[in-house]
Amino acid sequence: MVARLIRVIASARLAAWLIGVQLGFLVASFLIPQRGIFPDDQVDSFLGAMPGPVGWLFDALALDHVFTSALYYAAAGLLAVNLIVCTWERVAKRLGRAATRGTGAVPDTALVLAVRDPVAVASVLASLGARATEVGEGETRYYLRRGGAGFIGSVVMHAALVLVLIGGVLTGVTTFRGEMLFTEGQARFDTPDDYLSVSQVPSVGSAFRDFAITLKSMEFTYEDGTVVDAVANLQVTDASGDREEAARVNYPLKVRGKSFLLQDAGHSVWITVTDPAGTVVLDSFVNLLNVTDRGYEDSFGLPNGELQILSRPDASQPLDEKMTEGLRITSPIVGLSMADPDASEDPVWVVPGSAGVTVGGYTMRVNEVRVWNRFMVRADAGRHVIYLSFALIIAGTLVRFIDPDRWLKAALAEGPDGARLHLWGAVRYSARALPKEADLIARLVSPPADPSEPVAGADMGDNPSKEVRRDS
Amino acid sequence: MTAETATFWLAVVLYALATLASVAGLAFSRQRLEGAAFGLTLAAFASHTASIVLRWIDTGRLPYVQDYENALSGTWAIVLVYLIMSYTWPRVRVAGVVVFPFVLLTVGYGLLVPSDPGPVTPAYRSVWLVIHVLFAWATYAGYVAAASLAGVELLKARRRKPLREDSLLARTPDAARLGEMTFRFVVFGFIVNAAMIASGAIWAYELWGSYWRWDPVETWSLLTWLAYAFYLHAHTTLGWRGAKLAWVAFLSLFGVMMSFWGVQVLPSSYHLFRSLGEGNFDMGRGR
Repeated sequence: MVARLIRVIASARLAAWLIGVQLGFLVASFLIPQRGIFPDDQVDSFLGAMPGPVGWLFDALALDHVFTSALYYAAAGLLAVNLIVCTWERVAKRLGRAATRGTGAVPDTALVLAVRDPVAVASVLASLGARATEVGEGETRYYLRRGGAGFIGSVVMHAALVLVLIGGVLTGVTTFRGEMLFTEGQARFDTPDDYLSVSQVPSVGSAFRDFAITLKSMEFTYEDGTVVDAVANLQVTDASGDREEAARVNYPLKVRGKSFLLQDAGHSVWITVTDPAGTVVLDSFVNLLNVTDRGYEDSFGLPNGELQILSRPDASQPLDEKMTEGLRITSPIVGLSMADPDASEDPVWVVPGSAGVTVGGYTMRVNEVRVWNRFMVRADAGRHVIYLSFALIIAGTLVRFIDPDRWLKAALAEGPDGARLHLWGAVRYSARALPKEADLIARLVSPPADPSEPVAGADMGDNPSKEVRRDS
Repeated sequence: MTAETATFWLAVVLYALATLASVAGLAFSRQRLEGAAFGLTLAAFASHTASIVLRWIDTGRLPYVQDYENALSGTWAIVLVYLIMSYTWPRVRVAGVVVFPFVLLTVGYGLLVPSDPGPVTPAYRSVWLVIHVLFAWATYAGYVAAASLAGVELLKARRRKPLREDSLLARTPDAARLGEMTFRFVVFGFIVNAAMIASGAIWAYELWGSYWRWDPVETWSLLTWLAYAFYLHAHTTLGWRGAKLAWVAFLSLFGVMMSFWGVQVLPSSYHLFRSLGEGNFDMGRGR
């Protein structure tokens, strides 16, 4: 019972079915909008448009998030078990085959050849490096093996697929996802309070580490009005001291297992607002999060209304024209207004460092304009396992097909009606990959051009229709 | 019209003529037409190469970022592999009957999408992206070659009457040999496909902080890889041969086509390269 179960679990047929199931999941994920990839309202609207039973089915099978569903985990887990058992079976089978060296029973499917000159056949087999074992009087068994590296490659490749699943699980339990916002000159610590948001913390290990980062400055390069390079010059402070680092898009800053990925940027305005009573109600950098053709803008609530701030990078550009090269701040100018955002009242334009102006009854002074940057912060220990797995898959597959695993067994025996050679084995796909063995087989199994001419001491025997068996 | 556009158009016209000659050659069993198709392909390839070189000189970089550039360079890789295949095994030139229409469709698509080079935003400036795209071209080239050989094998298998000695199909290798050649290209495609997925995963982490997001293109790419993994297991483990296996190789090309074209109809994918050159510095494209 157990042996049968193992056979089923280790079968290539089950592997093929499970690959088919994986394909099914992938097709479902393509046809049905997935949560986490598409916005929730889009997914809800898609599911809402489905007829009742279909919607219920989608819900029951969690087809709107197939890759985090129990069904998917079960299928992936079973595939992992199949891969492990299958690989183990192959290793055991191979070791067993090597151990017997062809001394077991001759299979019915073996090719039988009448041999005219047994010494010549033995000589050919010996020249190929076949191991000879005497199994009885007048009978010698030969075992020829090739592709040891290919076999290891195959095992490595299949083991690496299991490693991919392990890497996926590791990612699930070690992922940290957060966002951090910096203004130039600002330092942030790796503590929950200093993050703009934290959406996922690892289930194992510590989420926060002991270091700080300071955004010293930002540099932007433009080409035809488009940012083509952005560099964040940073200072990292940890137990080992201070060090200067740079982060770019595609080249994140990596500190103690966390990656800081440069995302978007905008203007940050240091403004001091004093109310009519002389009380300072705002004195800090405010980050302008919206970008329009006019500039970087945002609004902030004050006791008597909404303060609109609009920042442009270069005062020499006409104010009614579209802003260009917005992040290269050369001679900034800031527009302030307390008007209704829908009204078209012109703002009061202020150059940073100039005297305060009165807007909506408040005295406002713009001190400085800098750049803010948003960094996506990620930690994922599983990714290294995934990268390693893929390297092993590629290397294993390469080796597997460069030097394919194959073996050949032969039994050479004297009988009452002359010598007979039984030949059986596993011959892989390519004749070119098996020059010597294939040549041997060709010479042994092909009828000679002139029947009176023996080929390598053998000719077609009593079973010429049989082929050398192809199996796994 | 720039020199680059002119050479590209010339290549498209020549590929179209090669397609016609190839199909007519097969339909009417005319070796001269097959020879003409091959000659036209060589001329188209020369013009195609000139177009890529001109683009490269114009932009100062390998053409690898936009849909247009991927159509331009990807099809070049496909034709290159076909030419190498035809040079190595002249008897399989007839496989062009599958390769040429695929190339023609892809370059035709390239003509319909914007081709203005524009500046390259920081997101596309990554060595991993270049590696990823190079492997993608190699993958497509390998799989198209495999599908074309499988197509020839299927065409031969469908013939009920014995082939005339002078027919083009009769000159092709036997089914077993075609199957073996198909297998080799699948193996090549499978390995470079794995490298494409791996390099894409590394790029994705460095850019978006996640090596896998189940993006539709990623999903189709994995699906394609699994389909070819099934082919390899069917061949080496289950011992499939002949038309059944050739169908698997031929139909799996659908996954490749979906990865390239299918996603164009999607409302959202990280792999849509339409917004290149927009002025804003924002990596959270479309999310």
